[in-house]
Amino acid sequence: MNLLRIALKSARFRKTSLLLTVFTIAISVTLLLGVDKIRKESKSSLLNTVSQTDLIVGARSSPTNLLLYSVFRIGNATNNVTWETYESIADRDEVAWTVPISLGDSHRGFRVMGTSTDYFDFYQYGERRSLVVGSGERFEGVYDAVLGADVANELGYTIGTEIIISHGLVSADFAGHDDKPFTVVGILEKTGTPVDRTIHVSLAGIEAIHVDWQDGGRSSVTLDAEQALQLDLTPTSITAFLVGLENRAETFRVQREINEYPDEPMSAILPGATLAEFWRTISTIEQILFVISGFVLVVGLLGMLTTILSTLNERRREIAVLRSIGARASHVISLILLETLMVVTAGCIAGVGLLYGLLAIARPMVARRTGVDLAITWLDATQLAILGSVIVGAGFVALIPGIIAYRRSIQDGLALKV
Amino acid sequence: MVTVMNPRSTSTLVRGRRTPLAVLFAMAVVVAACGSTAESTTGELPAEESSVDATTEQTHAFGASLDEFLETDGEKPASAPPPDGFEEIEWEDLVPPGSTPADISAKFDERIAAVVPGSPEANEVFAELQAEYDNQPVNPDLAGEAIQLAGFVAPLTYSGELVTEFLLVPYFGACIHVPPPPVNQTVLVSLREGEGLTIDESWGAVWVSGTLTVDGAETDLATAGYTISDAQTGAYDGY
Repeated sequence: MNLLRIALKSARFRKTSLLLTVFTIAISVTLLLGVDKIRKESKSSLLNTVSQTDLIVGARSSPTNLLLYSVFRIGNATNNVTWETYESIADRDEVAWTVPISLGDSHRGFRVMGTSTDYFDFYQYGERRSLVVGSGERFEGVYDAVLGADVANELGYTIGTEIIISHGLVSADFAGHDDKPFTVVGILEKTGTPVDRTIHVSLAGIEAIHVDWQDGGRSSVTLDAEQALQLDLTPTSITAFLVGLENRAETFRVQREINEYPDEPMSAILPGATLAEFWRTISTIEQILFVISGFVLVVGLLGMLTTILSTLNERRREIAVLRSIGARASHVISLILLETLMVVTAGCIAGVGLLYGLLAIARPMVARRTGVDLAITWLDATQLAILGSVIVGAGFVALIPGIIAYRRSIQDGLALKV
Repeated sequence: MVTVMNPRSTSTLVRGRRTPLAVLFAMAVVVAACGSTAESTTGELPAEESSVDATTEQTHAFGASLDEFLETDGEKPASAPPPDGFEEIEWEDLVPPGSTPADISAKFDERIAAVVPGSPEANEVFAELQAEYDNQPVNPDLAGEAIQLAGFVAPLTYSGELVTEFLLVPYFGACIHVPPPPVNQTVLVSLREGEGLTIDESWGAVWVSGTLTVDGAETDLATAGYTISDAQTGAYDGY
């Protein structure tokens, strides 16, 4: 009988406690790997939300706030930028393209964004990926709307569906622009960015639904959809705009000139640099999570140590018998080590299995709620390193009961009283 | 007698060695704990390293130059040799001779002396000075040179978790907290396929090597600038 078989046979008599240990290890491994996975995916999702946009310009505010409301549709703008200012910057020689953004309305919990069709040409995410209209077409008329993939999916909208946009960000209908419904003309393909959760309409559309709203409420003179079309629907202000430059080496100079624009206080930010700064602020949380899951693992390993130490007493006779039939000290230690490694390896395998199971279940839910796609991929180098260190750590821990068992086997004769 | 004595003496022996065993136990636990946490954080953001970063942020003001950032007291750190065929240059080399900030302000010295400080005329002169400073020309002599240059990063484009395109500038925090540098103190860097900086690396000093392209040196100011495509990069602390 070789050592492995002895270890297996012996373990069979301590099934329950060993299985529980496997379970503890599995949970801590799942936690460690899960935190690593979520961290990586959310980081890459965050960093790849916007690309090839050289500057984002909005009313004077903190860079992070501007980035959050203009790109992630989180929070609100402190103020608007006037249309004249926007036009004067869009006309500058250094500026290749601009995309205006107007926020503030919603439809059943999804943000509505007024923009120009340039948005579909110039907005890019990930590695130079552009938006693709999956079905239908871009908006043309004032009351046309193009939906992000998640909006269409969750609300079950198709081309031709009529939607009513609510004033402000409440999802209830009591402040609805119900006299001016929009028609869905296009649905974008999924991007994994906040675009998926946005309803895109023209700037004129945003103007049209607000023409008869004054002083924060609906005025007594109401205009229906057709009458509104007769008016000049050029916006007076927008929330922010994206800028692409002719020469990106000039980014800093244009940024400074916009920041020092004499007629209106504005902030221009470099999206990439602001994303990096933003990530650094929130990465502390992720590090704390990592440390906590590290401690969970240590507790798991200590639990394993406790279990093995407590079973050592039961195994005194077993080891004494083995010694008497010629097992050497190294055999005794190897036996304990083997058992530990079996438990930990089983724990790691179960943990990885549990991780993939949870990922498969949570993936659609997380994608829907946060827009982060937890892609199911092979374990990467970091994760394999985590698994390796768990096994090596367990090996070290197992030396303790191994040495104790060996020492006892010297003192204990066959005649020991348990 | 002997049979009675033997186990007793062994047990005293064992008792005597209990202490080293306990120490071994404690050490094993510590090793296991350290091993797992240290290994588990070898991802992008090791906890220990970030605390070092935090102190770095405290001790280095935004706008610190490379020497101040690395605390070399002006003494150049023993530099890692640049890759074969690449010549290490300094930020001053990017300014063409006769156009240094000192040269520019020298041109305005007389006019500044002639106006009353705070008067509209003075503001005008200073605005002109600032405009000239902002529009410093690039150095055409550097076109096509294979160079290595150290500086700080303002990220532009990401691929996954890594920064693949960025503006290289001579001051720490240039993009966010201090007035940005002029065009001839900015290099647009595109890394070669497969290269990338982690966010933590991009927060510190980096070196970049590649072939410098100089655009619009003599023609249109609006297109002027330094570019390095197909660049290689790494953290500067290896120096």
